[in-house]
Amino acid sequence: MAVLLPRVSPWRRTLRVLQFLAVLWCSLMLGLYLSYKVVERQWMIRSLPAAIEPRGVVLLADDGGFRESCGAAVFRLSGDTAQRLQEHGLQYLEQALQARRNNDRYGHFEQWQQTPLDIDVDEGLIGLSCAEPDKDLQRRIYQAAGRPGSFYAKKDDGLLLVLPSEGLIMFGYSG
Amino acid sequence: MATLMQRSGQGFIGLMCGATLGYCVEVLLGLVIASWPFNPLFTSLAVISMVLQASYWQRMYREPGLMRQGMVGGLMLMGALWLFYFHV
Repeated sequence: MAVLLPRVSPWRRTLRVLQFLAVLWCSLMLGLYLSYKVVERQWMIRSLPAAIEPRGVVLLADDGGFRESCGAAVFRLSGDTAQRLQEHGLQYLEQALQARRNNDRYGHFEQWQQTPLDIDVDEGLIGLSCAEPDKDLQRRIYQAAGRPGSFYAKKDDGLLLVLPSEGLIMFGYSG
Repeated sequence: MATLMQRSGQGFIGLMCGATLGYCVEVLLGLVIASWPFNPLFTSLAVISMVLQASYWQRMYREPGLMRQGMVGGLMLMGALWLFYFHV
């Protein structure tokens, strides 16, 4: 029996335990981070009115502020919503004025309007610069927002853009 | 009982290895398509974890077993999470 079981010195065993604990700690941290990302994604989806159905994240980032932050969430637009927008246009969004997650004024959007959106040259689209999108995504959003065919709704500290031509939804916030 | 615990432990280690590898691959995937953003803290943590896992990877390479199955499970878990986050 003594021949069959490999003898491991105590320091080597300690090293193995430490190695396992370090790997376990790293995995736990990674698990917590990814769980946070999933919760953040669901929170942002709940910031959109129920009539606007997203299909997967394109970009979700902010400047990391604690109480007040600036950032943007860009989602793909679901096929269903895109089709309804194509059929009914602005009329489809008329009732889409309240975020999924709350019924108070913080979740309330002003009336929907058609683009082109008047974009402040210095400030750009609210929240988007804080999310630091790549140049191609930024170009697509700005181009679609600057020509007819898309829709937007403002709220106190945010802007919601639906861009059917690019198949994108952008929700930018600051405050 | 001891064998059962040892086997579950091996599967769990494999799961952690697979999940870490999956995360690193997905961060690299971000160079081409939408994927986990490069986060300096967590990407470094994953790379350090991969280095610490070197002996486990050697073991998985040498002998197929529960650890390797756990690794495949970890990879699949990360793949499923990625699909949910970016495509559902």
